[in-house]
Amino acid sequence: MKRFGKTAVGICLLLAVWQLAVMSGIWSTYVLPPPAKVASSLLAMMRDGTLWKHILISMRRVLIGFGIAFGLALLCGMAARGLPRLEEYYGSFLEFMRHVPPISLIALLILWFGIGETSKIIIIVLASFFPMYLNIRQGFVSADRKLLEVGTVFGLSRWQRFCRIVVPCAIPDILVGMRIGLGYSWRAIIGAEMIAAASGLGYLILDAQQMSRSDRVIAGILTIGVVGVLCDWLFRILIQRWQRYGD
Amino acid sequence: MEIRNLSKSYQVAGRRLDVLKHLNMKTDDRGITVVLGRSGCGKTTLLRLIARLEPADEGEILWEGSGKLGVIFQEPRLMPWLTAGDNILFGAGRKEQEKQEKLERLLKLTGLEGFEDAYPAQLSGGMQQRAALARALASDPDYLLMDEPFAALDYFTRRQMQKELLEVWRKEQKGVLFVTHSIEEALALGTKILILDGGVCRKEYDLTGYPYPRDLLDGDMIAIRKDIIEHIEEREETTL
Repeated sequence: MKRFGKTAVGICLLLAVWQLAVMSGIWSTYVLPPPAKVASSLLAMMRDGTLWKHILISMRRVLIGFGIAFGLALLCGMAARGLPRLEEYYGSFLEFMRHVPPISLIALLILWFGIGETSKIIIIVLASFFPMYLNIRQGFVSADRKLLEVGTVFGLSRWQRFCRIVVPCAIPDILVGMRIGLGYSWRAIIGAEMIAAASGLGYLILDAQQMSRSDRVIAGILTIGVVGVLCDWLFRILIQRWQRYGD
Repeated sequence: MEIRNLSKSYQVAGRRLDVLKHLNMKTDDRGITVVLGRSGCGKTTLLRLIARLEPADEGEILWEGSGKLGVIFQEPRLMPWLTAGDNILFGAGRKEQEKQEKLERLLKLTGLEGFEDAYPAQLSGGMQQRAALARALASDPDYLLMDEPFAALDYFTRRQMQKELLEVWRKEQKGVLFVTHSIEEALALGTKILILDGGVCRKEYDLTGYPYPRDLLDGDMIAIRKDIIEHIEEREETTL
């Protein structure tokens, strides 16, 4: 509750500074609309369903892309643990791709897959795969050797040791990877939607900018922030629930 | 259990280090056999070979019975995400009814009643080692291997754990192979003491005639203690 109070004070201060800046007249209300106007635009978009529609479209893309990226990261992470020699074949390629910003590939992706859903989902996969893969791999590879020996002593098979020891050891790293990956997914989808889309939160912002509606641009940005914070909060709760044994 | 001609070496910084050299020994199958030696004499290596955690270079380990082992390591090695109860049942088979009965019996035996839902991080060092002992017993082993299990505990907890181990041993009637570098611990627990030095078994003491709890200030105990120290120091001087 104390933390909530402090957060509320911080937000109030920010709103006050924003309002003061508007009232000072340095910037026109076209460039910097007052908080009240942004709030009323936000409410209007919520009432007529525009905002929910764009949120749901972006969220759907994020969930599909994030899900695919998670599946791939899990497979590659498991391969790194179970078949370390196989990793020697694909490791360098992954290392190379890790340094290529996904947005830089959008021109090629549009050329290959058009401006439909596929190119946007691929962008999300590329953006969220690497943080998840690196964390999942770390979790699987660094499973406590001493605990694995306990499994050996109890006569567990390799698969049983993986399921009963390696996976639980790796879960904190997997959850951290998912948390970071989800954040990257949101960043990537907004970028992709601003370049090639007819719907979604990125499109909402770009469309508002083209219509010179700064209030709607800010409302869109605030929505992205809130959705991101909510997703992150959910993951934080999951991580805390799993790590309750450490208390 | 009989060990014949057991050898193990490692490569350390490009040099071959012989840890066990054609070791021969026999343990007391119903008693507590203590392997005593200085740090680095190969006690833990011996135990790891017996527990099949590492392959031997040469030699064999022969068992009477199924050769099912329960191992208790220097650290409790409990799964931090499992409760004490689930840790105890980690290797206890699948039959639910049987597992529940076993858990109740082992919690009582190791004095952990009421702590079955606690996570390892919520237990003291002594309680964690008791849970590790219960976990080893839950798999119904023929033999218990204990690798300096009380070394990290304070003096009083260690003494308490030694008493509890003797109690468990009396009730469970299982053979125990206990590795330690503490002469006091060896004298307090062992029905047989084997001195491991230079990769071979140097000397053997039979203590079956000494009842528990033992008074370590008793004349015989002091004499054995002196003999062990002299033996190890003499060997040290020869090596130097």
